[in-house]
Amino acid sequence: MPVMSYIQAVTTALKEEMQRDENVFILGEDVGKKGGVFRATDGLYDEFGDARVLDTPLAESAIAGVGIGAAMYGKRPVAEMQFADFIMPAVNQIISEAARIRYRSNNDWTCPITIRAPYGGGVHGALYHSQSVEAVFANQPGLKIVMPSTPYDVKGLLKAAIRDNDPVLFFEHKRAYRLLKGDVPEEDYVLPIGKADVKREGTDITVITYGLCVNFALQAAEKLAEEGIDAHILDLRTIYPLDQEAIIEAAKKTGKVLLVTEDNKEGSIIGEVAAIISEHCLFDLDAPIQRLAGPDIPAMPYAPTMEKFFMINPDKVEKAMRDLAEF
Amino acid sequence: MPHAVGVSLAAKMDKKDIVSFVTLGEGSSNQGDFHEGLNFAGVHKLPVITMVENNKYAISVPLKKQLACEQVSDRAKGYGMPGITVDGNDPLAVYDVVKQARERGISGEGPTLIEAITDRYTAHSSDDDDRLYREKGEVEAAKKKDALQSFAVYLRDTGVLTDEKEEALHKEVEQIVNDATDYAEQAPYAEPEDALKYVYEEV
Ligand SMILES: Cc1ncc(C[n+]2csc(CCOP(=O)(O)OP(=O)(O)O)c2C)c(N)n1
Ligand SMILES: [Mg+2]
Repeated sequence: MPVMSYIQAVTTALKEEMQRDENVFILGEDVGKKGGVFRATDGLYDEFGDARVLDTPLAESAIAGVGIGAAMYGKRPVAEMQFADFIMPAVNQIISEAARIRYRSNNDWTCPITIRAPYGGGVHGALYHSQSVEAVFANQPGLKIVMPSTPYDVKGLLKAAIRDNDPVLFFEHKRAYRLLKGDVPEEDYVLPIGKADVKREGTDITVITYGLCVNFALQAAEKLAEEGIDAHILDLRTIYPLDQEAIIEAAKKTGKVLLVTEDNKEGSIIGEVAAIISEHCLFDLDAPIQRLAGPDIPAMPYAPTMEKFFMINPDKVEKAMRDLAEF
Repeated sequence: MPHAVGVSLAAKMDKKDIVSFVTLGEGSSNQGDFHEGLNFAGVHKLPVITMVENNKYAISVPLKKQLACEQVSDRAKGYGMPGITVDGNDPLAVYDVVKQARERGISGEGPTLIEAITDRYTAHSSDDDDRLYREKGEVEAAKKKDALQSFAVYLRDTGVLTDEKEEALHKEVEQIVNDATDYAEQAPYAEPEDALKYVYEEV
C-alpha cells in the first residue's frame, strides 16, 4: 500500500474523481498552472486542462457563487478557498444559498458542491493564514462539514464529499499537509460522511476531537499508555451534522471525557459535543466533561511564544488527559 | 477599500480638507468590496483616491484571467468617476495624477480611480516559485524598466543626483535597515500570555 502525505491524498482524490466523472471540475485562485499555493492541485492542470481546472479572478464570493450555480445545473464543482480565512467574503453564498437550496426548493434543486479550504495554525501564518472557521458554518442545516485527520481519511472522505448530493465544506489542516503520512490504498474507496471513527480503543478516558488534534491525542495516548492510562479516541471526522450515536457510545465507554479543538473555546463545535453528552450520558459520567481549546482571542498571534500559547500540541493534550484520568 | 471611503465620508461630514488614499493590487480589484466601495464613493462624491497597482499578476494568475476589460481604470466609468492609467514606473507621472486627483477631491468633485502599471520583479512571496507560471525573459525585460534604475538615470541627467549623493543615500538607507534589523533581532519575544491582551477595551 503506498504511503502518502495528507496533501498527496487530497491531490489523489481530486485526480481520481476527475478521471471518474467528467462533471467534476476545480475552480479557485492559483489552482491552475501553479497547482495551488500548497500544491494540492499539482499536475491537474496539465492532465485536465484549463476548462476543468479554472484559475478564477480573486473573488471568493464568486468562486463559491459560480460553483453553486454550476452545481445546481448538475456539475460537481470543487471550489478551493486559498486559505480558510478567506472564505469570509463567500459566507453569504455558502450559508444563504448553498445551504438552503434543497430545502427552499422543496427538494427540486440540489447543490452538490465541495468547498475545500486549508485551516489551522502552527505554521507561523498569523492572523489571516491560521484560523479555524468551522464554527461559523456549524449551525447551518443543509451544509455538511468534514475535517479529516489522516491521509487515508482524506482520500475516502474527499471522494465522498465530491459524490455527495449536498454541499460539503472540506477543511484540511495545513500543518497536516506534509506532517502526516500514512497508508492509502490504491483502490477507489469512500468513507461515510456523518460518521465518526474510533482511532484508538481504550477503557480509562475518552478523547473526542477532529482534524490535526486527533494526531496530537494519539501521540499523547501512546505516552500515557506507558503510565497505564488507556485512552479511547474518537475522531469526529464530520463535525456537522455530528454523529450523536458515536459520541454517546464513546462517552459512556469510559465515563471521563476530554474534548479537544484548536478553535477558540467559546462557541466552538466541542461545546455542542458536550451538550450531546450531558443530554444523554449524565449517569454514566465519572468526571465533569473537560474542554481543551484555543483561547478566546480573535486571531492567531505571529510571535512564536504567543502562537505556541494559542496552539494545541501533544504536551497540552497529554496533560489534560492525565488530569482527567486522575480525577 | 471601503474603509478609505468611510474615512473620506467622515472627513466630509466634518468639512475637513482631507482626501483619503488607498492602494490595492489589480487582482484585489475583483473583490465585491472594491466595487461596492467605489460605487458608494461615486454616489456620494467622496474625496477618495483609489490607486490600483497593476503588476499584471495576482500570485500566478495573469491579468487576462483577472479582468475582461482592457484596463483596471475602465472600471471607473461604472462608478461615475474618472479612471486614469499611468506608468507606475514613472514617479513624476504618478505624482502628477495623484496631485490632480487630490485637487478634485478637495474641491468637491469626488473620487478618482488611478491605475499604476508596474511589474513584479520577484516571486509573489518566499513560498512562491514564479518559474512555474512565467517566462524568465519577462522578468528580465521588466527589470530594465525598474524605476529605481530609470529614475536614478533621470536624476543624474538633470544634475540632481551625483555619485557622492547616491553613495550617501545608499549608506543612510543601509544603516536604517541594519539598525531596524538589529533592533528586531534583539527584541525579546512577547510573553505568551500577552496573547490575551486587547481583545476588548481594557479599563
Ligand atoms: C480575500 C483573500 N483572498 C486570497 C488571498 C490570498 N492572496 C494573497 S495576495 C494574493 C494575490 C493578490 O494579487 P494582487 O491584488 O494583484 O496584488 P499583488 O500581490 O500582485 O500586488 C492572493 C490571492 C488573500 N490574501 N485574501
Ligand atoms: Mg497584482
